[in-house]
Amino acid sequence: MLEYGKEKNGEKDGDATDLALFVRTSDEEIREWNRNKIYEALVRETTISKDAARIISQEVEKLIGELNIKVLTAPLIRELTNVKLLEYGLEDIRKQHSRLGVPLYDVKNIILSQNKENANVPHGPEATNLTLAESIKKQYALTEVFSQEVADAHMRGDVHLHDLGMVDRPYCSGQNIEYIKRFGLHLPGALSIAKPAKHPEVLIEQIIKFSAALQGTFAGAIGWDAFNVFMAPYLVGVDDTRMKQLAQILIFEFAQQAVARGGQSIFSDLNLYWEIPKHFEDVPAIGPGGKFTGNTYADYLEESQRFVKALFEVYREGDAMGRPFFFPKPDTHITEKFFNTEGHEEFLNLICDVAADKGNTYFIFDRGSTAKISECCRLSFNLDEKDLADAKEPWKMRYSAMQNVTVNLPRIAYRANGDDSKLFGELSSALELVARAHMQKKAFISGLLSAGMAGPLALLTMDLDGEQYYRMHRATFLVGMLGLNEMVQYHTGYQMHESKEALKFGLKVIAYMKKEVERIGKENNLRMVLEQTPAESTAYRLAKLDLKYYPLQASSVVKGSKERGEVYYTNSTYFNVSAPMDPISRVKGEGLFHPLIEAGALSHVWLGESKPSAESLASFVKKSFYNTQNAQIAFSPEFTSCLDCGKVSRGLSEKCSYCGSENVEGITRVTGFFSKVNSWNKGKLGELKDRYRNYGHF
Amino acid sequence: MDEVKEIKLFWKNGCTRCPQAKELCKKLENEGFSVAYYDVESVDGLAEASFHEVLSTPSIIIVDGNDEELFSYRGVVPSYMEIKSCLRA
Ligand SMILES: [Zn+2]
Repeated sequence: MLEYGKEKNGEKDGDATDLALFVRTSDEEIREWNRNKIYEALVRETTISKDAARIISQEVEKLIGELNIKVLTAPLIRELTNVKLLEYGLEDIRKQHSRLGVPLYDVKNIILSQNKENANVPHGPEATNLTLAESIKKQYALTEVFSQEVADAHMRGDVHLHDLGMVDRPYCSGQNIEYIKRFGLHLPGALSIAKPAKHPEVLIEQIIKFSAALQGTFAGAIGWDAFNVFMAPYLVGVDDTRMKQLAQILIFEFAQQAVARGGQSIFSDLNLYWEIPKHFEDVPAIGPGGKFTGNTYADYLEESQRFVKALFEVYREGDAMGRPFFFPKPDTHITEKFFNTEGHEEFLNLICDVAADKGNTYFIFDRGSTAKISECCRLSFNLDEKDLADAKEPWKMRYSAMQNVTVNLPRIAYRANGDDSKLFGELSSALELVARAHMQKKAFISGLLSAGMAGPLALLTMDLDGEQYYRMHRATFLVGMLGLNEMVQYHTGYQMHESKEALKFGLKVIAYMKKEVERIGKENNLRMVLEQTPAESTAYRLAKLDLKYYPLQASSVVKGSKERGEVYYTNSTYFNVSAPMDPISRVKGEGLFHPLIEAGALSHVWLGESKPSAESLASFVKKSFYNTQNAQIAFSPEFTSCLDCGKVSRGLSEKCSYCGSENVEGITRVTGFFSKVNSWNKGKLGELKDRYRNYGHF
Repeated sequence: MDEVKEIKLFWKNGCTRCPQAKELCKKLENEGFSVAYYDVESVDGLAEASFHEVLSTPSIIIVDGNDEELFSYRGVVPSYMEIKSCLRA
């Protein structure tokens, strides 16, 4: 500023006042034209030399003088300045001087018409705030957070960086309610602080609020480990009626959080167990008031089981209209111990009944000594030695994936053009690039965290147990994959369900990715792991980009309807969704990949309008556990919900089967979660039409 | 039973019973059986192990001409007599 004053004094009077213009500035004022504002901005925001800045500002003034502009705004001056910078070859300065924003046309569309591209954002002022903010943060991410190389790779569609609009948050998290039980609700910057809860109702409220706070600092899912087990010490002496009520409070509160935050639900996961998991058996239990009860969790089996049963009874009833709850997702762990715990048959029947009727239940298979905490659509962590040590003090069990980057596999096959070594070479290059993207995100988030309580991620820096809430040293960096089936199809001529050789080649690609991700992760000191991408919009986006850049190649393998523009790639390592395979072959075949995918994998069994018996699903679940390597399965029915008569029927139809109204909503799983079909993107609509619905198999 | 096409041995470095399993497979190879050796720490070995749902070493999988499993020993080493009687059956 001082420099500027000096220079101004040195200039001849009159230079800057020839223009009798007013400028509408971005801080809502109308000011007189002042050329030095351009100079100041250039010097403040960029690395330009002062001489050059002076020349540019004079040139811009000259240009504006010639243009006869009636309404001059600050953004327009900035654009004209940028043009001058380009004329002078100062492209790097131009980049630093960019303005991020949204065209008027887009803002109008966003505010006035419904967002069709994202299944989770309904329309409303709060929702459009979110859309607008995300659009600017996305631009910021691609300009500032990531290198040009990484940003370009995303924009071209070589890879997909997930949740760029939330670049200033880590991706997702999984934790334990022991933190809340022990420390109460004690959030940084909060106006009031709550002591550890004494009653289960209060504990549930604190958990919901804490989840909402976490949703504000993570882009994706918020998972809770062994939820019913850790609730149990609060449930001693609670009768059946109150137990059911507690379950209702919990599920409705989570399910209806969408009233806040632009209608975005908390992507909540409740991990549930019929038994007390081995690693928690001897852990001292925390009860009302945050005090140790003197017992261990093994002593609370009865309360834990009664609560989980009550939860599933509520899931079975559904909401007031009998529709399935979209969130929280019940992730039920099926283990060796499950089958050795009394009452498991009856419980398995209950959760299978819910699966058949409403579809909610996720069956997570923890075979042998593995224990997983599953958090978002796919994400789960295998507990290793260090985690098992943490399990002794469960409030420490806080895990997070920092970011998720997906590799566009079919494009690699197009580039390799049938050449194996080229294909694996390209794959390695892509994974190296993913690692660079992860390093850049890690550096950015580390910077935000280092601002501590004064920074934007204050919540994640609280240290009530002597350690920062966000445990950076335990963070994982996810590497997703999209369209393995189309990659294999292009490269070998067959889809994975069509030939053993094709399937083996698919396994080789994923085995190679696993080894490479381990190697590259080690070199960069990043805990990189494979994850099945829950590609809600990625499967559509990358298919569209490939049809544009590789039209001949992509046309031969892309799925869906090109005429209707409903194109997609098959998600992650899945088999073609339309292949008429019996469900156990699909679960077994897709399951071959699951041990290679450490951060979580899932197979869908689409049910359509059929409603199998609980017993047949129970026997299917048992078979899947013992005879396959599949990590997780979910059964997905379809529903039509009538907005006029309020009734819900099975299957997707244009009209209500009770009253004939066309005012209906279709509901089924889009990827890992339920949503309304009318809000799906075109790619997913194409997939929905293709889904093989397993009629007559149960 | 379909005809035995190939014996697949899955092994890795540092596995204590793998040398014993390898020795057994060499013996069968010398008798004219076709044997493929897979190091599960290599990409090809890991892919093949995934295909046959092999989770421990040593494992021996015997397949027919369609690559379908006829019988297997997972994480265990059979005696020579034992495997021979199965191969003959
Ligand atoms: Zn109706």
